[in-house]
Amino acid sequence: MDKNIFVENDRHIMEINSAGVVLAYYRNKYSLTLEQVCDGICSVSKLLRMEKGIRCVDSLTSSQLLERIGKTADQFEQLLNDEDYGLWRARESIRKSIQQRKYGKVKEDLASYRTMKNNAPNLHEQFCLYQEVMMKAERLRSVGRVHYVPQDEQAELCETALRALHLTKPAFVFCGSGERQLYTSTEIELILLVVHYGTYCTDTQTEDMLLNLFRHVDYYYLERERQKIGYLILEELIELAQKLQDWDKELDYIDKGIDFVVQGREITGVARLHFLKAQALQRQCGAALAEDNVFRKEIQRECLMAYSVCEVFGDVCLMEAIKRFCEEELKWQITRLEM
Amino acid sequence: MANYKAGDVIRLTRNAVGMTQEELSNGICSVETLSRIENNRHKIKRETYRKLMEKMGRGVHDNCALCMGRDMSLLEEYIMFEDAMAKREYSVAERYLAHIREKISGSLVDRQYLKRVENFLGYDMKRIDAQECMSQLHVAMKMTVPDYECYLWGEKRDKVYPYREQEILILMGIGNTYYDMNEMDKAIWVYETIIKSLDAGYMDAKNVEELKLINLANLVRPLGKLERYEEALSKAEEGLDMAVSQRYAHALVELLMGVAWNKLKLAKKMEDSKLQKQELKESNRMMRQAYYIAAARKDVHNQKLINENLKYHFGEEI
Repeated sequence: MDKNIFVENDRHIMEINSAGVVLAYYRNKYSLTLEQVCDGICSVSKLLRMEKGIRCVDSLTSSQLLERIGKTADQFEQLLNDEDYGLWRARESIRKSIQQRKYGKVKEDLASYRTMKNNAPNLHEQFCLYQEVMMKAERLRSVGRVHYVPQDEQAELCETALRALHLTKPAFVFCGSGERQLYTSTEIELILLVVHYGTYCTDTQTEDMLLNLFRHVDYYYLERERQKIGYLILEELIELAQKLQDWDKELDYIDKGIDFVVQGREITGVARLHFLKAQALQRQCGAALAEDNVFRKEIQRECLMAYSVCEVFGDVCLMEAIKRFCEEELKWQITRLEM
Repeated sequence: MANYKAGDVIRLTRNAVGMTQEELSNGICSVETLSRIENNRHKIKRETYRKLMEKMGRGVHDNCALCMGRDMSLLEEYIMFEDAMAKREYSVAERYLAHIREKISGSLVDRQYLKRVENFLGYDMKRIDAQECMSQLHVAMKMTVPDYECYLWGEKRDKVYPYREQEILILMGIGNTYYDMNEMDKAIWVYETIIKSLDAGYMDAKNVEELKLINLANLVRPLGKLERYEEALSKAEEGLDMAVSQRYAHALVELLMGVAWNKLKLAKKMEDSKLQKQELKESNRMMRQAYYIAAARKDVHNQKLINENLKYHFGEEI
């Protein structure tokens, strides 16, 4: 069997139970209780023993515990035992197939994953349900580009997402969820999908909850997950502001989003947010646009930024949308990259 | 933070120092075990790893790590320092470095780390000149790989040495300093050596991708200066393809400019005026794309540089 054995780590070598050391450090730094971190994932005593280096939990449990404080397992050295190794490899393979959209293979692999022995059934089932939800969401997104998405499919997605969420957050309700709650990125993504496809509370409650989640990510999360999850939340906030036709708020969230994503090292969200900004500015300006050259230039500039990113990264759909917007609203051909 | 595959590190080190499996395993483990370890098919014990590395005259990872033990706060300061350096906020970086200096242990790799970052900061803040920076980086490199020059320029220059992340960062500093000293051939050789090591696959993929992108972007500059435009173009395109497939924004603008600038230089030498016009147009377009991507990411430094290029080569400004 091909075993990747990682033994060294330049910047940090910790004791064998590295996740425990990291958890203890951050829990202390952020003044969090044991319950806050492990609630729904493992028992308090298990986390305590883990922090003290006495007990090693499986890699999914330790990665979920780390996610609650916004850290990912690959930021720290992971030493896996043999039983755990099989599960870890199976998960990596499923994630890869999802990325490559080989959904038939994912379904087969999930079925066999569910037969593998593990010590944390709730977490492993959540992992499987999460993958299924992601496949459904991808399908709805692709259908949604062309057709209206049927209500029953949306409801089914929400139901599965909630079932997955309740495995680690059994008491989660959409209105008035507690300020002191911690969330893994899996949990946040599940919540966002339910927000997107379902109606479980008022718009104000949704906004409060999303802002709460954003503050959580902004405070705790690092690197790739920070950019990815933070952007997903802001996208929902922007959509909500659009739905409420609160244009000032929409622009605020867009600017916040741009500031947020440019701190990261990836391109995620950059093009979309600049295009949203162009649209928002155009909406604010309205009929006055024809006379206001400064404003017009600003909108063109936002479009050029978004369009250039799309062109280099080959995001054809968004490119087409920007092109159309420029032709229809600005009577201008963006394709020459000149104002 | 890099992770390494133990088996690959051992195999590459053994090949680099020129030992056979029999010589290395003798008195430590069986040849069969070593062979399985080298193929990543056998989980190696820390003790065995230490013995094997010591026998090859290499440092051992137990004293080969920055911020040992449980001091997580040091790791955080380290990340903040790197972040400030990347944003060219040198006074902020200096503040973090002062904290790091207070807390860091006296281990070999910690001292190496300090030597590296103090030099980078001093050089970027123009407190030391290129000559001084180079000699200090040389000392830093020798702390963990005393015979590195032998692998870099000497008789073992054809071997692949499994440099650690820290050593690669020092080598990158050496390459950049050679570039500043106008020693382009040396800079190219250093970057190519680094890329050769990164391609050997002993380090985890995520770190390799990031380091390789930056090194490709670095390599493009001296190749262009030496008018080796075709090579420069192909390296820039390789890096750009990598950045695009990873959806990576870091080093993207530099790579785009690398492609655009070398395309332009090649176009200027063309005889077919129709083809030349087309290539120049494409170069211009890429510079514009690079400019707007820099703007989209609020990268003022690169926006200014690109605009200077547009003005110089095309007589236009954004």
